[in-house]
Amino acid sequence: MQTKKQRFAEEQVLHLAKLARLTLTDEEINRFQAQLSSILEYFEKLKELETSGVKETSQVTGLLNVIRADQADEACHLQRGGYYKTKAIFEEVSPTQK
Amino acid sequence: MEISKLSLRQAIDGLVQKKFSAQELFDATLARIRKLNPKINAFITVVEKPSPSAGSGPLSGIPFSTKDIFITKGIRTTAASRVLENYLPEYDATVVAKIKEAGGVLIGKENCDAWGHGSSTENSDFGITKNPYDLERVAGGSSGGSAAALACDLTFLSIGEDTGGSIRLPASFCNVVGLKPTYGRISRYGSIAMASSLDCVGPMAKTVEDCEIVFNLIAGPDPYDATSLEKENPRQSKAKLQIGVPKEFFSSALDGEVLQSVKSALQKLQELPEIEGIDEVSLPHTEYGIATYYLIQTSEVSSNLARYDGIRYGLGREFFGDEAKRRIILGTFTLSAGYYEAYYKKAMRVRTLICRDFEEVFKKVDLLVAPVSATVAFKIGERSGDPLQMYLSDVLTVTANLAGIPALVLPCGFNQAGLPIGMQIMGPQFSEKTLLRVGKAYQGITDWHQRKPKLS
Repeated sequence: MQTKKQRFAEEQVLHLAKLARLTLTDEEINRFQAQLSSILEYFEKLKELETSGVKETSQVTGLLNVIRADQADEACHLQRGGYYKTKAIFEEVSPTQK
Repeated sequence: MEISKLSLRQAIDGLVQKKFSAQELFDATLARIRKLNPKINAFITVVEKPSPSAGSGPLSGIPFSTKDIFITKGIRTTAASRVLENYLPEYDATVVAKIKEAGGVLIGKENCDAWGHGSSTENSDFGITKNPYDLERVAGGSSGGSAAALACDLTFLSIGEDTGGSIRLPASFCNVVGLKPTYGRISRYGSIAMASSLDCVGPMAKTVEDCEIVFNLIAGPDPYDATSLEKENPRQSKAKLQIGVPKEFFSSALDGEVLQSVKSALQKLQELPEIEGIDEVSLPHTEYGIATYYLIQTSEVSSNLARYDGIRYGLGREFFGDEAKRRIILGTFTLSAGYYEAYYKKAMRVRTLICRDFEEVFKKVDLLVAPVSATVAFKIGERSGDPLQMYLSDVLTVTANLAGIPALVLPCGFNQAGLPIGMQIMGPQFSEKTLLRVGKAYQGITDWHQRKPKLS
């Protein structure tokens, strides 16, 4: 019998594992449930702060829409019969170190 | 003097002056790795036969290594996880390519917490990296292998990555230097992603001077990393700098000897001509750093680790370790419908408050000096049973990642038991040159960084 309400119920852990394509053993579900619950409990600390009206920060560079001109790099490709011919990206890589 | 014990600066000079050859330098370093690595387990992969130097530049003939999260063409890259235990990359990370272009010769890939998940290098699927100053203690994490290798002179420079303290904590536990640059300063192209808005690639070395040499070579925008950038720092040529000491970093939780060492360091810094004075300042949201960081980071981790499906490369998801699974589940939860607002969005707002704390403080001072960790290196197994306890190891390092500001860690003392204590110097975005300048000056009047572990 749980004396303290666990923040993560067993079904919830299973559901999340399914969403994340992870397979867990019974032992893992049990152990993770307790550990994740205590971590989630710790996150509740953020509720102490008043943040209405505060903008979210998703990244700190201030950069926006970093793009380059939509031009093929002619140095890397050969035009042939209306197509571009270019080097293969994947080739058999033999390990330089065993 | 054993040539592998030289600093990077001395090794470069020695090669130029033909005191020894690049082959001799490589052989000496490799011999040392063979002798000492079995004791500390700093390396996952050792490159026995050096590839001929790609370029001839400032690092010509210098053996270098990287944390095993940077992909290296033709050389196994594992992220210290069984999922990638046989992964052979098709190309080099930008950082690796730059060092090779400058003449560096790759000698090995260093151990770390798998996927960067950890503060001790106990979460590696390739064994624990031990602290060279006390083999029963951790090297710190997640770049523990890099720090331990440098401490034992098994490499001349290592590239690490810092998402929540992963360069700085091991540097301070192992008496070496580590720089976490401004977010975006160094390209992340080819680094195995952990949390994309927080990951910072950075140099680790034996001295601040060495660190600066590497930083200058690898920093700069990269067309392959759309988050990379460079900006002018308006305070760069300021002659006299004001130091701020953030009171929240000096709580009663701080170990007495750590406090003493950092206080002594502050007195030493005050002796330097470049330092104007020292002020007490406040970063009021520091105590919310861990919750904010672990919330945002695990969310981003759950997304970044979704690519490991075992179909195109690597083994399946059942090969993830416990910590990876925990973080993925947590992150999946915080991003899921119904919880996204209360958790992830909330954390992003608190992140704004933390950024503002630093902006405010840097209006009054130019630099911040603080401890890196509340304690010295802890014992192996001491915190690994309780994930939250382990997360709290990062309480003094995470806010710099949330704000994207640079921080330099360097040795500032030892405790009675002979364990290293480091301090961190933080500055506004793009102030790396200032941090390095002050760090070099401090190392000019102290010699903590010259002390080596008895092991070596």
